[in-house]
Amino acid sequence: MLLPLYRLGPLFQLRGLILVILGVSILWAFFRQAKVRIQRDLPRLATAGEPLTYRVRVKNLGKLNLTGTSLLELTPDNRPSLESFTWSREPGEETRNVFDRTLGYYRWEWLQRSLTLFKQKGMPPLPLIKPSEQLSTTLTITPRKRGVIALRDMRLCLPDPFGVFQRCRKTESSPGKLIVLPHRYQLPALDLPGNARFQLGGEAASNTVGQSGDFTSVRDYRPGDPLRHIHWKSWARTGKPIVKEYQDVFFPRYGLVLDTFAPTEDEDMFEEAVSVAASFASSIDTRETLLDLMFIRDEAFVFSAGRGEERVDKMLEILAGVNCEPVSDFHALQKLVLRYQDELTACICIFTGWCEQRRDTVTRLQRAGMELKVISVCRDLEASRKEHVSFPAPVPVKWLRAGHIQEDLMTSANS
Amino acid sequence: MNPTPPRLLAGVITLAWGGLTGNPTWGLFAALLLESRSWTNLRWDFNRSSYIRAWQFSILIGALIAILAWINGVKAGKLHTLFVWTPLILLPLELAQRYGKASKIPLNTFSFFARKKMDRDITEGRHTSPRMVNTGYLYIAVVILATAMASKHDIHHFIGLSLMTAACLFFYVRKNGFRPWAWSIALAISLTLGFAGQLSMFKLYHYFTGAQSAGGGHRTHTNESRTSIGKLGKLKLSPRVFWRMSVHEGNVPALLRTAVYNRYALARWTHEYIPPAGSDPMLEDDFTDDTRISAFQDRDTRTFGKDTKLDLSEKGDLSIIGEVDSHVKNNPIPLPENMLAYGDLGAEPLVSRNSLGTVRIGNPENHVINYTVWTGKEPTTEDDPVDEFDLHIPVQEKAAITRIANQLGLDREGLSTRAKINILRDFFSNEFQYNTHLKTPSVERGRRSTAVGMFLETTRAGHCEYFATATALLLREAEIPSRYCVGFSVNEQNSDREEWIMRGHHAHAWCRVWVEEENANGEVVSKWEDVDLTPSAWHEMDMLGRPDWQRKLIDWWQRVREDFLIWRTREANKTNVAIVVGTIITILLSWISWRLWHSRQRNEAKQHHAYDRPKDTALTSLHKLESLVAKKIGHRPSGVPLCRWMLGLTHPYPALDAQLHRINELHSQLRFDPASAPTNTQDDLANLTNELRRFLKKNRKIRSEN
Repeated sequence: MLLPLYRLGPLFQLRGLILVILGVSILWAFFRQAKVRIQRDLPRLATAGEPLTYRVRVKNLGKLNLTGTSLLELTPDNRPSLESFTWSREPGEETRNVFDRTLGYYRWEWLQRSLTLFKQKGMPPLPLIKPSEQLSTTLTITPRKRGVIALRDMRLCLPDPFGVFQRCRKTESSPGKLIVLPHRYQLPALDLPGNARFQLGGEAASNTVGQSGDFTSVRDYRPGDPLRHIHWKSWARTGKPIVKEYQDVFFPRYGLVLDTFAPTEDEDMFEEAVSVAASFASSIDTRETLLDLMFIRDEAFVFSAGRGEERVDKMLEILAGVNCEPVSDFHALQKLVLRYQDELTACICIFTGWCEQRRDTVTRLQRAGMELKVISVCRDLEASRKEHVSFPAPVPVKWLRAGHIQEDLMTSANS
Repeated sequence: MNPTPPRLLAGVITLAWGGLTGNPTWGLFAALLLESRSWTNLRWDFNRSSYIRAWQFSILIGALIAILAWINGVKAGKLHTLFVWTPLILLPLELAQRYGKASKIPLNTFSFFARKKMDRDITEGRHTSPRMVNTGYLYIAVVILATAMASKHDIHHFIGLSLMTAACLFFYVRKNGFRPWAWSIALAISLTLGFAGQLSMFKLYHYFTGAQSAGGGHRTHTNESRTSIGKLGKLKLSPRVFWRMSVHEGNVPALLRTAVYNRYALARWTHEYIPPAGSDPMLEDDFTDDTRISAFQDRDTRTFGKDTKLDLSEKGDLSIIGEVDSHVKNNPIPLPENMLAYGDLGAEPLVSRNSLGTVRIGNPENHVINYTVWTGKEPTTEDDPVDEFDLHIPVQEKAAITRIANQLGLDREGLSTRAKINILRDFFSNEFQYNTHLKTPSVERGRRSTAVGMFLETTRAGHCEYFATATALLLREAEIPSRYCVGFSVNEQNSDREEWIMRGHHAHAWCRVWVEEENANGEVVSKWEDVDLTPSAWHEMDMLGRPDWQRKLIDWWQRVREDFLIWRTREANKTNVAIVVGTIITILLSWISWRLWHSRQRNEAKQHHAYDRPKDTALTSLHKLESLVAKKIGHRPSGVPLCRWMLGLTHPYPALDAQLHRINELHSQLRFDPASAPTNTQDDLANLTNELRRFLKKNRKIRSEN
């Protein structure tokens, strides 16, 4: 019962059919022709990790109807260079076995992952496009990391009737640019330290010069009061000059200090640190506060957003483009922050890792009387705590593990 | 591309597998299990370890089937033919995929080492992204391949294969740019070329491998023996054990005959006979049945002789064990020349013999047989010679045969049969050499007809087939009826087990000669006798190849297997084995069923509970559109208002934005404030919804701008 009659005929049939289908498919796909022009309607900004849908207009420049096609937005070449592959080390590579370390396949995979800028979600099929006809469709891509994405290569996929093979023909298209903002996490209820220091604000965003604030009452004119403060209606009513009285508005000003001194192998931690900084930037109510982003990029860099200053979107764009600084200069960072110590209500310091220099930075800022909230992105919690024991910070440190940022942000674990 | 096959496709293909391979019940069983998924909302929330267990269960089933097949005689080299059972072997995994909530399973489910590597990566905090796969189409591919492995009907299989392939290709691309005309043309071309291609492949295969002749290979055939006469090169003979013989009483027979032939032509010996008058030559095959004798009450013993009242010893003279092909109708079995009776071949064996003495067993129940032989003084399985066949000499060899016969003086008056045999014996022993490796001269295909002549006059070296054929033809030239026999020479003994071993290289050819001589009483007695004139050097050459430890191990394994198979096929043991195996399988299936039953869930996604609208709610034409819109964007979730849900259509159809807002506005008016709605609101809404309905039916996801 168990041993069937073993004959060759059906096997030859199956083999023949498979080979023929493959042959017909590959030939059919190879000889498919099409010529299209593509125009993308891209938004200016996207967010890392969030799907982005944009419209694409397709015009058939050929003489025949175009059917059974789809569009593919090709990612830029994500192959690492020889130098990068040779000198980079995947995080945790030293724990792999000898064969994997020698072959380097997982390092290659890690580098490719880090160089892949976006991923397209599906390839929706296009309907029939007649010659010279134009239609629009939508594509969805998910940017993988922050930065600027240049979309230069859109291909028209021409599959064979069976869908086994497809030919990807280049299209006429103008390149597009997309700024990808860093991924942002949900923050718990912000418990920012510090009192509201005297920060004169109010209508400083307008072009008015001189005293500003909220209009609270009127009083008699005193010599020296600006003429523009005269309340004309009251003067008409009372017959004597009356001026408006303003109350000064006080609002907090926070510093957002980003540690850019991360080595190449800790680039993933740096990315997380940038995302955390972006999360703070987008969570703080900048209608009522000022936020100063400070980091070292060749030289000291400060960007202010909030009342009377730039919008937070601009700050996020800056964070989209910030890179690691190859040479550590914590001294410059300290000087930068201390320059604003009198104006800052408090400082949120986001570090990548922990070491003696970072401890010294925190100590110096704290001794200068600054209120600090210290956050450190780490890879391994236990190892970081050991480092902290060696170099204890004068203030509590919030540890966030790379890859578990959201989870750690929502817990109340402290060092 | 759609990764999951549509409803019923896998079930239909599994049914086709069952029908074409002769397992309709199993096919129906598997198809019902696979497709029940669509009729029930039972689901399980399988995790990674569940899929691993399903895979391990599949491996276990595969191993059990392999063991059962081995028990039933399938050799290791033929185990690949069990691929036909892979649809059942992989059924647990496919069912886990279908009834599980996940749409894909990790690819490393199938590899122990890949799983361990991923676990280690997770422990050490490294990034892991296992490749995920849906097994739907893979399972279908396996079923199609399994059908091809064992389909019994060529043309039905091609039709079925074409339909299955077309269905798979259709559903694979149906929702992704399907082009009906191009698809149809491509399919027609593929099927036509595929049919032509498989015919060509088959012909090429036959051309290069050659048709395996009836006499080729290691199996002896009852009606034809294709010799190696005329072929160059070394004669390769297998060291594999074919038969084992135990001698209980009497002498050890030197030769065991398997088949006898009587006509030689073009390097082939065949069995020729004259059918009885009035018989149908297509049906009549010169084989006659045996006669059951009642020598023992509880043993089936039979004879071909006339005397059925035989007094047989309990143990018999010989016991022979060996393997036959249970799929082949005719299996010749080796027997000594003076077989009197045989027995213990199982219940109602189909044993018959032909007029030359070839004994065959037809359609044996098992592929390993063990039978007992009783010997006598006279042969009982052969008829007397027929001069037309037993004295025939082929024309092509006549000249050479005549020359040698004259040279040896075989035609001298007064020479007895024995004297002629002795002349030939001396002739071959002194002037010929035994050799299995023939080098020169080459014999072209057209000249193989004179190969015996060349052997006798030129080369004077050859193997047993040459000697046997030459002996038979020379004796026929001397008017002595002779036949050609094939069988085994008995000369290797396993002293540990007191067994005689017959291997491939013990296969031998000799003559069967009709000897007429006077006995002690002066009466002329005629009978058939074995005459083997191959120089005795061939025994010594055989001794050179003594089995080494590898060969001993193979022999031991073969012996264990055959003995186990014989033990298992005894009636009492059959029942016990079936009970034990059945109990184990029942316990295992019960345990699995109990576990599955306790962890079952319901498919909530399938259970779409319609919104329970209050009775006096005003319905508008927008409500009637809900089912059509649900096909585009999915069912309306609970708690989501109809108008807000309808706006989901703007994602695939952005141009509908304005229209949808207007529809929602009119619907809201009618629904919540009908009193103040203008009189033509109903009509306006109806028109707009009809327009929307037409649009949705006509268009797919993308709109056209022109």
